[in-house]
Amino acid sequence: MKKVLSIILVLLLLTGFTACGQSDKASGNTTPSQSTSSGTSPSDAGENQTNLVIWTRDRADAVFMQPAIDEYNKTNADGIYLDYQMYTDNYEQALDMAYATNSGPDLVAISGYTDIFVKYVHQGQYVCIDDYMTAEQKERYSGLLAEGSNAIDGKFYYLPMCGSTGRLFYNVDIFERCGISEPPKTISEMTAAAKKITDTLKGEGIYGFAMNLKSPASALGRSLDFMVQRSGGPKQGFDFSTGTYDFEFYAPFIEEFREIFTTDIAFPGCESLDIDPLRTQFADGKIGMYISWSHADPGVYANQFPTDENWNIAQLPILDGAQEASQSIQPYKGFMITKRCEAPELAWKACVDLFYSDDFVKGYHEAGLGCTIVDDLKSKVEVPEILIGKEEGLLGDKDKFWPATPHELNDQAVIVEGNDQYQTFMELIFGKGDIDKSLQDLTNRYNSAYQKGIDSNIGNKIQIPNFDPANPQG
Amino acid sequence: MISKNKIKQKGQIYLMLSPNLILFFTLSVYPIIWVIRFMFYQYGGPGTGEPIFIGLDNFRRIFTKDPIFWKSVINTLVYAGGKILLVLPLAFFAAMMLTKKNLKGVGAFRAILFMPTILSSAVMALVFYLLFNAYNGEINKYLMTLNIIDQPINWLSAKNAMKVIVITSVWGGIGNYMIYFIAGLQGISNEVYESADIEGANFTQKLFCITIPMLGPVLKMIMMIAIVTAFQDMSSIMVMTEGGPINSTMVMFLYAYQFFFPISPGSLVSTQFGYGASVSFVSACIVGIITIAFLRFSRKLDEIY
Repeated sequence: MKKVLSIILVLLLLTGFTACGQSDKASGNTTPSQSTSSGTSPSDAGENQTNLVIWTRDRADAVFMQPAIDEYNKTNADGIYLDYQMYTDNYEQALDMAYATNSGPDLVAISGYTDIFVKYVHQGQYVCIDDYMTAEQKERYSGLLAEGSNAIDGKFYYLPMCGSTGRLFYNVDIFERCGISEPPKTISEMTAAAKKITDTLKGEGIYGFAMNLKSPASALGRSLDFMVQRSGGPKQGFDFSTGTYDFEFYAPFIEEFREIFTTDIAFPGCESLDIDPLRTQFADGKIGMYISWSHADPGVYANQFPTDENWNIAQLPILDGAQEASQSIQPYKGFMITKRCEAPELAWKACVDLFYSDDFVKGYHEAGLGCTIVDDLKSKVEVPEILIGKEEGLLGDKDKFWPATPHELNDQAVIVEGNDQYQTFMELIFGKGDIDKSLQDLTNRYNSAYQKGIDSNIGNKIQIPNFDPANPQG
Repeated sequence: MISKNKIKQKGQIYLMLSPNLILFFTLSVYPIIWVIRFMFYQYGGPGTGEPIFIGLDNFRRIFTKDPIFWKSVINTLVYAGGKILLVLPLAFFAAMMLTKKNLKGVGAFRAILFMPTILSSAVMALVFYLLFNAYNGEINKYLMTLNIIDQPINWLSAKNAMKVIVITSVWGGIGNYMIYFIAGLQGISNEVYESADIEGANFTQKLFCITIPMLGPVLKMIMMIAIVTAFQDMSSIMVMTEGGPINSTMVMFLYAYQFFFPISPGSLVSTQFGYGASVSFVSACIVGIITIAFLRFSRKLDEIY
């Protein structure tokens, strides 16, 4: 009996061991998640087919992507077989390890707020597609060129199928219950509305405002950055007209956020809240409003966290009294050909015939997975079903491509000593330090780092005299 | 003249040691040499350009322009101190209970207490993150149901996050140290306790006059392991709080780690291999100084008997 019990206990322990996985406690590394690929498998590739491996982080659009890829694999006349692999967690780390070991995929999907373009393009990891583009394609896509986001020195590395930017997501019913007739247009209105909601509905566990501040760069990069730009301010602190960093413009925004987060207006625990837990609470009707990406959240509430709440999308609030300028579009969803690809011409052909084709882009847009930014397609696409009645979620005429800042062009050119801007904002928002002094110190540190990068010939001086935030492409 | 037999014998020894030695030199010695080299360079990593020699500039930055690093040192001391002060007494108490004779189910209890040690620290951290969630975490729910609190506590705020991190690591570490203590306790001869019983010693007297003194050498080893491990811990912190909020849980090696790898997809810290190498070196020196200080002050534990 004892022997049997011992064996059972050992088996249970082993099950627990394998089920929970293993991590290297000393180094803190966790192994990247295994990729998942569904649909046709590499073994379906015929002998004479060229197998091209694609890595992507995204899983939310798999329902659209995989069938389209399977169909392409069956029908294309070029003998191309696309092996689509979804690396959801630790995508950047998986790429890092692949590049460091000179391995990895043929094509890398880029989406959302990530540095996998600027970080690796200077390493020579990606193929410049300019040489493969025809004159017509260069003409058609010339408006999509975003230096530092999908191009370097005016040459494309990928074509963004879609674009994304920040938007305010709000619960219409909560607003109505609190007597707020429309979403806030200025930052002081945003604070006032958030306070009113919290004061009125706190007893039911409903709060006016939330932010995913577990990662300050993620939270503030999708909110504060765009609010400042839209109010006529700099991009990530960089003033293109003077060619220097200047964070003074951020002061009133920080003051409003400080009031929200230090006077119990905000949803409890925002400083450790990640974006998905925030979305579940919004879907549950516990949050009045928050700010996030225009391309991501509508799909989340349709598929990932379905909700019966009556929610809508609005433009971001701007500084009181400011003239509305524009906010930058983040190029989203493209495919970069890596240097390891042995058939870059075929990889480009696959991109043109499938991912960049009008039918595909149109279908992707109308499925509500991303907003197309190809000028001549904008008039041909229908409003996606999930955005009917929520058309502010689509890109509009105040959403434009901005030039890249020095640290976007090359993150090694601006190595800041001490806290970066988002960590500094986070400290200020939670009441730590004098806002004006801290922003002045931040300005000095960024300019010092910027100058050091120029002096070391790693970065370049950037200045666009008479830069107009309302018309950033000039 | 060395005999053939001796050569054969030594050869066999070195052959058996060779896998270990190869791994040691490639995975320990070579990285240390690499770190010592790149401490004096500005280097963003492979493909970011040639390393630029900057002399002691990285150290100047650490000692004069990096308040976050020194905050991480304080945080590490707080974390290590809190963890050791809690985990060792609890592990000792568990070991004492689970070495009692005639205790039914002792094997099962030991297995249960040991199980957190074999769990992934990342998974453990995620579960505790959900438990201590300010808004709908189970801890707040139970505390409010029992009327111990009337408002939810923001457990992962800048003020409280370190306490939660310590609790998580104590929960994960009790089983590990309990095993060490059990091994130590089983090394104490029963005759000593029998003599004490004859002399009429009570439980407390036996504990403080026999058990603890005779655990001296083992206790010294356990404490040293606990100190070094606590200073190196970072994986659970990385998952739970990413060193935040506002660097309130940033520890030394997590701070160094982020210069080599992004902590999260949203992290925009530039890779700085050179600076990260110098931060790692200074952190290792700090751990080394504390370990040496501990070894000096704990000499007495070796002289017990």
